[in-house]
Amino acid sequence: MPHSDLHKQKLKKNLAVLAMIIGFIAIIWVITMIRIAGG
Amino acid sequence: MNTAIQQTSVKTSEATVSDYFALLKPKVMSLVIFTGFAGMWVAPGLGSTHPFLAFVAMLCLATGAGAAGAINMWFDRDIDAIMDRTKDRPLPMGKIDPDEALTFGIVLSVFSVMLMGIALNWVAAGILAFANLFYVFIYTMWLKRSTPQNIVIGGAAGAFPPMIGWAAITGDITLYPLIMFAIIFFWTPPHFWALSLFANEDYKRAKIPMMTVTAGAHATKIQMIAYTLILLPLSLMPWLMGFESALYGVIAGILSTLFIISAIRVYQKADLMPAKMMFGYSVFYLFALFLAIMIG
Repeated sequence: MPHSDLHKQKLKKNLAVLAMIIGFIAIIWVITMIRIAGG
Repeated sequence: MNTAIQQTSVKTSEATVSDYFALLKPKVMSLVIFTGFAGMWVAPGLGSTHPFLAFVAMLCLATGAGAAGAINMWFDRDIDAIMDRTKDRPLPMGKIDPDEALTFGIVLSVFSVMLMGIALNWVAAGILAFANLFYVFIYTMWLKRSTPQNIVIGGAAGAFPPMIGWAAITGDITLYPLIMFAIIFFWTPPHFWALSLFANEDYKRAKIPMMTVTAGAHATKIQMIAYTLILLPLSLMPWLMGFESALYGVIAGILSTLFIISAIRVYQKADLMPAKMMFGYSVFYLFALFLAIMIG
């Protein structure tokens, strides 16, 4: 099925949401590591 | 069922990532980040704070401010559609569904406060939460449409970032962050009223009781001069109280004197050019003053 503009737009938005979720998890992980190390 | 799904798809189809970014009011956010960073920079103990945690504090501040901006745009979408200055925003353009914009703002706001509390401390998180709630409920929903003092009192919301930056590092509030708060608080009315002078027709159409609409240009211009006069000694306070060097004092004195001169020029001239120039200078003034605080 050819991708329409709508598909492309939604893919971009979904990827942005995915990046935000991964970024948030990464931030929490790094904060935890810093806290464990006594920072 | 299919129709409902199709309708939802159509409803949200036009929103792009950049539309969501525009909801965060990036220009306002840049000022918040800068003044917040200045508050953090001059706070004692920055050197012993992990750089990543300092970065997270700035991220939370920026995201929190952006979230409040998104909720503000959600609530003001009716008047934004009327005003030339704001009619191209994503909500009045119909690019983003209002419910999505509100959800986006609330989620970002909650996340930014929680992250600030977990990463730094709950004093900074508490002030961030208070600033957001103040901006949304006190300024946006109450004052903006009901009193010409809207941006005077509501301006407090925009004055919190240096306090938040300071509190993120120290976990408390002392005199210096309060002075920085006061500088932004007294800077806000002449800054916004300069804009209001040349966007007066917009505000009239949208029935927003800005000072220029209710009291007229003449009375507003006098008040603008009064606020810039207050700013002169206030901007010198960090030097007079020994927080900053004489170099800062000289820079602050020059910047504030020029701000007074620009307000006087607005008062003297009937055309709108001085007001436009003063608006531009007011943005430069705040950036330059907080840069001087950082290097002072």
